Amino acid sequence: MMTNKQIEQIERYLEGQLSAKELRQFEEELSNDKFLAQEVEAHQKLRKGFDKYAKSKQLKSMLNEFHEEMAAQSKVKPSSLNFSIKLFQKKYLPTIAVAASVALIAVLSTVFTLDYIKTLEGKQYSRVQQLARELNQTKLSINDLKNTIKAQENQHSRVQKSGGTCFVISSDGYLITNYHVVKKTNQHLEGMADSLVIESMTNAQHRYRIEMIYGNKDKDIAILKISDSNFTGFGKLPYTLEKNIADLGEEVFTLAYPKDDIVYSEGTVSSKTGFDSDTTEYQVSIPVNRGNSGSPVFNSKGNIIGVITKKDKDSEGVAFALKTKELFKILEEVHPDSLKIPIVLPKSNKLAGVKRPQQIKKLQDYIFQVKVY
Amino acid sequence: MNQLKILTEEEFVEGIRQDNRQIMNRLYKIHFPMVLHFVNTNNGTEDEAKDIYQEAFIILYENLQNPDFQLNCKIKTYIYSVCRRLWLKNLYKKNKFLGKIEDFEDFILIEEDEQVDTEIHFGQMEEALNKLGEPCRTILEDYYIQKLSMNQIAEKMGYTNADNAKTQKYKCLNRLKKIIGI
Repeated sequence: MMTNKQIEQIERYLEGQLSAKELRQFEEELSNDKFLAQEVEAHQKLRKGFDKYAKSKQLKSMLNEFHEEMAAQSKVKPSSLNFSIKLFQKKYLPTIAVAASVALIAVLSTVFTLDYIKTLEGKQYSRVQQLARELNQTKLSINDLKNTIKAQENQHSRVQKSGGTCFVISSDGYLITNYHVVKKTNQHLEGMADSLVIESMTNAQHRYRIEMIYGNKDKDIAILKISDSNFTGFGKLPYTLEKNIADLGEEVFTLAYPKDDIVYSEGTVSSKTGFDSDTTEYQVSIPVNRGNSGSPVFNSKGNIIGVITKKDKDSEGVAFALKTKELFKILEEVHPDSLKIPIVLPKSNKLAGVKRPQQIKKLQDYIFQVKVY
Repeated sequence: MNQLKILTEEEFVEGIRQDNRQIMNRLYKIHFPMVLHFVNTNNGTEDEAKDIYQEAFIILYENLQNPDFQLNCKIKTYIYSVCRRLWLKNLYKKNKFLGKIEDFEDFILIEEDEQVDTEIHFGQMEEALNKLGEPCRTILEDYYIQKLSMNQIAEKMGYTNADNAKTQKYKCLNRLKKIIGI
């Protein structure tokens, strides 16, 4: 704490009242005494503060004078009711203005919109009618289109619902094919009277109407008979149905109508049992398609060893053929009374030792495409 | 209102710098309604508006006395901005701030009192003197502001001599220093 004497000296120093001698002494003290220097600084700050305060106070009193002058000039007294109304106006005028303008805009826009909608309604109504007409037209044209498509479908199915291959087993006009190729023609099962036709696309263009005389669903075999009146007979067949079981690895071939032309494919007997080790079938490595159903499998001599029945969906080039042994069994099942002419199987082979193209040339006359209408 | 020549922004600034009472009077009257409107809209009375307006006016005045000070916007914007900040501070102090200030003018960001540390602020001195109480307040004001001599003060305050008055003055000065914290 400073003594009064020290404070007085600081004050006198700051006011410039020290004598030359005193000043020298004080300044020397000041340079040595940090505390004193600090104190001097504080006093300096205080005096400045006072100066500033004085100035501000003076300024403030001046501003107060201005204020009073202003209050006197404005005729309305600050505390009067009018003033508070004015204040209220001042305070809320923007809000009121905004509210009023929003209300105005809302009303006007509603009126305009309603008006506009009215005019629109008329336009809209005619537009709706037009749309309705267009819709009707579209409906009609869609129906037309539907009918056309249906008709086309029907036509398409007329052309060939399903197809397959069949082969001759008797010169009297008996043929063998898969039951599934012709099953839809079975009147007793389906109640439908589709017509069956067989066609040969080779050099001798033959087309015969046929009927199914026997079907075995389990073995998937059907026996067909040519019922056409202009059919005169095939003559002596150049091949037989092989009685012996084919050997594993024996070369075999088939002729079929997977398309509208005869197709030759060859392979080998790859297993003496068929699908799921079925002993009534062979497994043959012949690439087959849909139309291969019912096509005969020939051995190298040109004798039939089986009938293609199905193929393995999962593995390529694997087909299954029903053994001739099973065919004989089925033929035995056919009641002789149901046949006008007994089935006489061919007995001699004329193709053994003949080269394959020659064999095929002979054989293709006895292979037909089955068409179901 | 008598028709006066319309002053430019520069003329007003020059007027304040040169302590032109007439110009300051005009300026004062021009901007008060704006501040009154602002304070009224933001939960304040006219007296409060007057206080902050005058404080802002003094800040403007003091700043303009400083030759380094650059006024980068219109006087109106400056006053509005200072008032806005002062009023915000006031609302905070009274815990009345509702989280939103209704604004009517553009405003700039006012720096927090830069010279507070180096100088004693006007409000600070006033507050300290109020705390100090009588007779210290009168003695110090008489001496430092009215610039009365110690003899005059002794006579005015009824001290037997100037030395007694001086002793009292030093006591008061010490207390003031403590209050201000220097």
